[in-house]
Parts: sequence; structure tokens; C-alpha cells
Amino acid sequence: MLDEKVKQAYRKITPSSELEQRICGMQIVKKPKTATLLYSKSVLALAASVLLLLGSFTTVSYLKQLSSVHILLSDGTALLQEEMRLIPDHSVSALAAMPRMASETLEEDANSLPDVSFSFEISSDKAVSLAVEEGTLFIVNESEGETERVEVGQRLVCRDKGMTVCWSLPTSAQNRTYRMTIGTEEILLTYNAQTDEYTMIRNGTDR
Amino acid sequence: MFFMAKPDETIYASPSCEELYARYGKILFRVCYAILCSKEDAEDAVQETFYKYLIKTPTFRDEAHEQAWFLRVASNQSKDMLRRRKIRSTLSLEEIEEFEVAPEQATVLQDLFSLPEKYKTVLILHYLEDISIQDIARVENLSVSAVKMRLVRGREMLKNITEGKEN
Repeated sequence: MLDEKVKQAYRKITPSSELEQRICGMQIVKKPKTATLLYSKSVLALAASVLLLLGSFTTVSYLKQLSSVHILLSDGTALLQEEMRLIPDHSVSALAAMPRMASETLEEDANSLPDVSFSFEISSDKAVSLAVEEGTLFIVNESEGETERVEVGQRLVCRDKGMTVCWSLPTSAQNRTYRMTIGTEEILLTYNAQTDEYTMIRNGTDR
Repeated sequence: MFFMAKPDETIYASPSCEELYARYGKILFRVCYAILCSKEDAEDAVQETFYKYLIKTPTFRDEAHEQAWFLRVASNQSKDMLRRRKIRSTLSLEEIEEFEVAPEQATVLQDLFSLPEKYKTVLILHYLEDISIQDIARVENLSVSAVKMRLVRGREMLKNITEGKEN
């Protein structure tokens, strides 16, 4: 019944090449003890300069599915509050309000900071993997008062409850479009500086 | 404590994550896939297994001990995911044939994957992954006689399904 032919056929069941990339790219990043580093204006100015050099849009790929995400602008305005695909095992719950530390970190020196930031909170026990292709992510652990900066090309796994991910983008030009992917969902955000309006397009649908 | 190396034992140095994936990635995926009947869920279960390895950094006595740990964590992870699911999914022949499996063997695998989890896991580990009954007992946290019993019952159930289709 379970002869050699079946065994050979069974062994043809193989994972996608993406899984290998996901696993081999995993690393556990220990939060730095000198968390105040990112609070200095010079470092923030440097981070903003790097952002401007790196380009106008940032892609953040979540290798785990999110259950729900609220994206807030740095002024606290809700931009997107919508349930994403529900996979209980990989739940990332919504952010009720902009965390105080994240706000302080990003608003300390308005001139040297990107104009738009998004944040959401990881409140799941499960791991969420983040990969930064362009731009910069700030991971803020409010309970421990620590901040982690994620560099381009770096991938890390977030697990701690209460961690906040701040996605910071430059908006120096009049009109900019930013892109973010969450799982297979693609979100395009267009900012019109003249009208100070944001347009959200998600998978080709105006929001 | 099963997975903790004793102090007087030589600690086996685990290879890098890349090497571990090359060694166990496929077998873990196949076992998770058989339990979850979903490619995406199986990949998530394997990723979670490796994540637990990175977080816990367990020490192993030898390679067999290491394999048993990975299989046990992957199997438990898949069962946890299965319990949380409201709808139990089954695999269609087309889904199995996506792996370039011939239709005749795909039918046998479909029958095998349709068995209750506790039977198909031991059948797969023993007959398709060539893992000894003693090692399966350690992976599944069962006695050797319980594994043998599941193998007998699993074979009978698979035979009944196959014969039922033929008749």
C-alpha cells in the first residue's frame, strides 16, 4: 500500500523557495541597552538624511499575516482602520492610540524628521517578521523604554508584546506615493502637499 | 526534560540555520503538510518551528536528538494550528498533483492524508520518512506499544478506505 512508488511521490511534496528565504533570513535582534541613542537630534537628523537619500518610498514586507492593523499618522489621525485577513495564530492587534514614546521619539525635532509616520502595535505572542527594503523602521518597546532601528536589508523577528513599529517616510516633495505590503495586500499611499490630503489605494481600490 | 542534554554528556554543536533548514526543512514541511492539508499553513508551521529553535537555542546530544526535537515541535505546532481551525480542510487530488505526483500515487496520498491525525502522523513518519518506532514514540510522546497500535489501526483504516473506493 505504502510502497516505494508512494514514498517517492510523497517526497516530491516540497516547500516553496520563499520558505527557505524566510527561515534563513531570520535573526533575533537583541534590543540595545543604550536606547537613548536614537533620541539625540543629531542621530535623528542623520536618520532622516539617510531616508531622503534612500528614496521616496518604503516597502515593509510582513512575512507573517496580520489579523488587523490600524495605521495612524503622526498627528494621531487614523488613516486605515481595517481588519486584514484573520489568521488567529498570527494575530497582531490594533493600536488604540499613538504610543507616547513613539510620538516623542518622532516629534522631538520636527525639522529633522520625516513628515509622515505610521505606527502599529504588536500585541501578539506570535512572531512577526519584518523586512526593510528601503527606508527605516523604528521598533519601540514602550514597556522597557528601548528603541531598535531596523536598517535596510535587515530582517528581524518581533515577538514582544507592546512593541510598536514606526514606519517613517520623507515627504519633502509636493506629491509622493509610498508603498507598503502586508502579506499579499499592497497599500499605496499618495500625499498631496498642496491640499494636505492623503489618498489610500489598496489593491487597486480607492479608499 | 527529554530534550535537555545531561551535564556529563558531550554537547553536540548544532549547525547554522541554513544547514538545519537544508537538513530538516523538507521533512518538516511534509509532516506539517500532511497534518494541516495546506501548503501555506505548513510553511507557517515550519517557520514557527525554526523561530522556536532560534529563541530557545536548545542543546542536543546528537543528530538524532536534534531531528526528534524538530519533528516534535513541528508536529505540535501543526496540531495546535489544526485545533484552532474551525473548518477542517481536506486535500484534493489536484492539490497533491501540483507537486508533480502521478495520479495513482496522488490517490494513495490523498487517502493517507484523510486519516485522523494521530494515525496518519505515525504512518507517515514510519513508512514514508523511515523513522524508527522508538524515535516516533519519543517524537509523539507515546509508548512504543502505543505507536505500534496506531500503525496497525492506521494501516487497517487506510486499507478500508482503499477497498471501499475499489468496491
